[in-house]
Amino acid sequence: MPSHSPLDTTIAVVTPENIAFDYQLAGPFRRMPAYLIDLLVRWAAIVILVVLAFFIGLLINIQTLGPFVIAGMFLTYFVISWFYGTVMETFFNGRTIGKWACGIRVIDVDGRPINGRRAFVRNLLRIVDLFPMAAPGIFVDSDIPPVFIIPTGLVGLIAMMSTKRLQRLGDLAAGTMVIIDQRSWRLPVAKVDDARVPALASFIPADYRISRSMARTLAVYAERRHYLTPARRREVARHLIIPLIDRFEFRSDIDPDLLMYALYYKTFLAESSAELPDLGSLAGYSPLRSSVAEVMVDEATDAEIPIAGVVE
Amino acid sequence: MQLDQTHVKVRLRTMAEIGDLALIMVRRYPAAILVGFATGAVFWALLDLLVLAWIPITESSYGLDDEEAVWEIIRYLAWMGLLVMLQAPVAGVLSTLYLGLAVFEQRPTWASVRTEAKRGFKRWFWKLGIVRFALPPVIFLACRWGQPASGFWDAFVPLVILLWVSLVRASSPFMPEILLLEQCPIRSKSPDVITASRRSKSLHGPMAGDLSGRFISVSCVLVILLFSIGYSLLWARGISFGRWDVMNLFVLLVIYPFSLWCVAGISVMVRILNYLDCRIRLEGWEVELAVRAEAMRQFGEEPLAVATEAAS
Repeated sequence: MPSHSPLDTTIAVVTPENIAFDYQLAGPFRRMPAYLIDLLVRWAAIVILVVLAFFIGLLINIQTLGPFVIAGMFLTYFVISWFYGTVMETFFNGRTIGKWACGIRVIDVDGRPINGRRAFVRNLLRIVDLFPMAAPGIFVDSDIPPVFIIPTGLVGLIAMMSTKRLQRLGDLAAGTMVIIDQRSWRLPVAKVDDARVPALASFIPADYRISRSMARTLAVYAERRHYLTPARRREVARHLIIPLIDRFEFRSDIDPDLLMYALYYKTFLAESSAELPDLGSLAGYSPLRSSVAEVMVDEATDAEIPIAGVVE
Repeated sequence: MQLDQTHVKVRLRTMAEIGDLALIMVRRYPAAILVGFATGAVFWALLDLLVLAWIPITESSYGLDDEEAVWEIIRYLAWMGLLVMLQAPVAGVLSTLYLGLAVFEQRPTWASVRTEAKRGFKRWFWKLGIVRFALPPVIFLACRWGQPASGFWDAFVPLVILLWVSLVRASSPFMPEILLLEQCPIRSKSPDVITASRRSKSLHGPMAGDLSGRFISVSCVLVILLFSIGYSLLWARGISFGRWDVMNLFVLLVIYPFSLWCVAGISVMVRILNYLDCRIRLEGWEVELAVRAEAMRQFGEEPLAVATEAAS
C-alpha cells in the first residue's frame, strides 16, 4: 500500500494475467468469529466420531478392541485437528465452514486460489500464531499440573498488525492472505421515480459540462441520499447547489436536494429516457428566475410537492 | 486542503472492519499511541498508583497468599480496572486530537496537537475529567488511604460507578470527539449555538440502540484483549526469568496496570473510528466531504462559507 493511498483495509492485487482486483482484507476481528465456528465444528466432529467409536467398541467387544478404539479416537482427534483446515481450504476454494459462514476466504498473495501445499503450511503454523497458550489453573493454587489450552493469539495479532496484508505468520510462510469474499464495489445506478427530477433536469443549461469528479460526487450522493433525512440532504447539497443556482440562473428557493438529484439524472439517466414523463400539474413550471411561470399546486392532493424547497 | 482526499478512507464499515482498521492505524500512526496516549496515560497511571499501590505493598509485607490478603488484592484489582476505564477518554485527549487531524493531514505535528489541547483544556477537562468521573474517584481513594476494605466503599460504590459510567458511555460514547474535534462549547446563551449536549443528542439519539450494542461488543472484545495481553506479559516474564507466580508485586504494580493501559489505548483508536462510522451512517459525512470538495473545485473557496461570512 503506497503511503499516499488512504488508510483502509483494502489491497490492490495484479494477477499474473495482468488483471487488477481490489480486495478487501479480513483482519483479526473479522477472522476471529470464523475461527470460533471452525473450532466448534472440529470439536463437534471429534465428539461425534468418538461417541460412534465408543458404541462400535461396545457392540463388538470392548475388551479386545478397546485399545484399538482408544487409539482410533486419538488418531481421529489428531487428523481432524490438524488437517480439517488444510483439506477444506484446498477443496473448497480457500474456505472452511467458519470462513464460508463469515464470508471470507484464503487466496495467495497474487490473487490466485490457494493450493494444497499453501493450505498445509498456513494451517500447520496456526499453533504458532495462537501462541502463547494459557492454562486456566495457573491463577489458582492447585496440585493439578497446568494444561495450556486457551490461545491468547498475541503472536498472530502482532504479525497481522505489522504486515500490510494483515497476514499472520502462517500466511507469511505460505504466501497467502485472507480476504472478504467480494471483489469490488460498484455504485448501483439509482432509480429515479420522482416526476419533478426529469422536469428540473431539462432546465439545466446544456453548456454545463459534468466533470468526472462531479459525476463521482453525484453518484455518491444519489447512492446515500435515501439513508439521510430530508433536512440533512438539503444541508449537504447546499454546499454545491447554492453557487450552481446562481450559475444556472434558477430561482433561489429551489430544493437543493432535488436539483442535486436532477443533476444526477441528467448525468447518468437522461439519455436513456426517450421523453419526459407526465408531469401532471407541474407541466409548464419553470425554475428559471426570468420565467414568470409558477408552480400550480393543487392543494387538494398530496401528490404535488413543489420543486421549491427550504433554502436557509 | 482537499476535503475528499482524506488519509483514512471515509466509507461505511462493519464493526469487525473498524477493529481491523484500528490495528492498521496503530501501525501507520504509532506515534498516536506511543507518544500521544502514553503522555496522557503516564500522569493518570502514576496518580492511580499513588492512591492504590499501598494496598499490595502493605499486604506483601504479611504475605500475599493468606486469605485476608486475597480480599485486599481483589479490592486493588477492581479499583485499578475501574480507574483506567474512567480515565481512558481523558488520557486519550492527545491521541484523539492527533488522529482527528490525521484524517486530513498526512503527518500532523505535535505542536498543533498541543495547541489544540491547550485551547480547549477547560472544556474537555471539566467534561471528561470531572463530570465523567476520571478525577473524583482518585480523590475519594486518596481519602481512604490506609483504611481496610469495606463492603460498602469498596464493592457497592465502585459497582454503582461502573454501572453509571457504562450507561453514560454506552448512550453517548463520542463526547470526547464532540468536545475535541468538533469543538462544541459546553454551554451557550444563544439557542443557535450547537452546544456539546445538543450535538450529543443529535449525534447519539438516532443511533442509541446501535451504539449501546456496539459498546457492549467492543467491551467484550477489549476484555478478551486485556486477558491476552496480560497473560502474554506474564508468559514473557516466566520465559525470561523463570518466575511464573501471579501473586507478586511486579505483576500487580506493573504488568496489570500496563495491560489495562494498552487496552485503553486501543479503545481510543476504536472509538474514533466508530465516531467516523457513526457520522457516515447518520449524517452522510463522506457525501458532505465529497460535495464540499466538488464545490471548492468548481467555485474556488468553499462558496457556502464565503456566503455565510459575507452575510454576517
